[in-house]
Amino acid sequence: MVPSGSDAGRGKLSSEELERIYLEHYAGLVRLARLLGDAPAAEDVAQAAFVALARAPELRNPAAVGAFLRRCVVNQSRSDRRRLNLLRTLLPRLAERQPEAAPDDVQRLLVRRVLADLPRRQREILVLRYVSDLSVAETAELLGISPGTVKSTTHDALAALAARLSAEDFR
Amino acid sequence: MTLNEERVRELLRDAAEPTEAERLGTGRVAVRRTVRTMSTVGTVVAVAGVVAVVAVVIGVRGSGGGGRTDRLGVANSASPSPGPTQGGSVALLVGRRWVPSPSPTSTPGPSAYITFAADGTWSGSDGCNGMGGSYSYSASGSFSAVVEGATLKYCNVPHIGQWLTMAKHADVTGSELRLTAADGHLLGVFTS
Repeated sequence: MVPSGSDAGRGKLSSEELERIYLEHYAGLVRLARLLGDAPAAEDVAQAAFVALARAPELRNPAAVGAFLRRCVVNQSRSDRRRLNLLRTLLPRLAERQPEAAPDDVQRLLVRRVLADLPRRQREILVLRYVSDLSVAETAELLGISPGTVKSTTHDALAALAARLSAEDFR
Repeated sequence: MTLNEERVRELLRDAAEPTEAERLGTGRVAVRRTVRTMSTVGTVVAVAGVVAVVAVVIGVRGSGGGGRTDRLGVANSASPSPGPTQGGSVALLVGRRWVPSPSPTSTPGPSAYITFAADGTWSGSDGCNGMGGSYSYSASGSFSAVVEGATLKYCNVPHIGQWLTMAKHADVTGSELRLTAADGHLLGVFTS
């Protein structure tokens, strides 16, 4: 049991609280970062979110912690992906060069590539909803868009994902 | 092709897991990174490094008090890296559903448990969040585990994943599993 030693509603987080939050959220943030941004850098991106959290002057309520961390990861992943896309444009052959994939990783890498080719908003919505298990409302809030847009984009994204996977002869 | 939501969830979650190459760059190293980051933000984390030697000392202490204590052991104790493990006493951990016992300081979530698989992975729940990862132990009884995946609900229950990552020693006595930290304090007791 990790008791909430100090009042989380006021001031900075205690080290105990931070530690508990870290253990609770780290793995999920890494997965989020792996699908949204630069996969090999996913752990660094997740850790940077905690550094930002520790430096945040004030946290209103515990429920906001997860959203704060996820927003950090989403923002960082956006800029990482812009950098990756630029790299692909400038150095296409180098950027695509991959170490030989282990058999278990073939599908994993294919799904990641298909996901990476989706429009950003579709990708973010799919990952937040189906990997981070956020509700429509939570996803809308995090991305700063309306719930209706989340729903319609989810619909489009599922169709786009299916189309691209079948174009890849997937199963 | 058709993709229902469940299938998408399954595909994306799998894609979110590390590839073999990424795992090689993570695994045990990830634990050390944990420490580095947390000290960056001014936090002391007890998840420190690889402490096989310390674990042996704790092992001697932990074996007192009654019943026969079986060591969790494998042939190669030199490098306790996560991964498949063989050995007779592995069976003590594997294939059993370990339920945390209440203690003076903690009341576990109602459906909390952990299970260990022979392939070096564990999974479980703190009664709120599902989680899983890899674990290892050596012939000395030293134990280590990392959390590699967890759901993200926010609840006030004891964090079983935290016990596992902090545990440096595991003792199985009959139907009881005791996890102790590097400094020897008891993290949690499980029964199966």
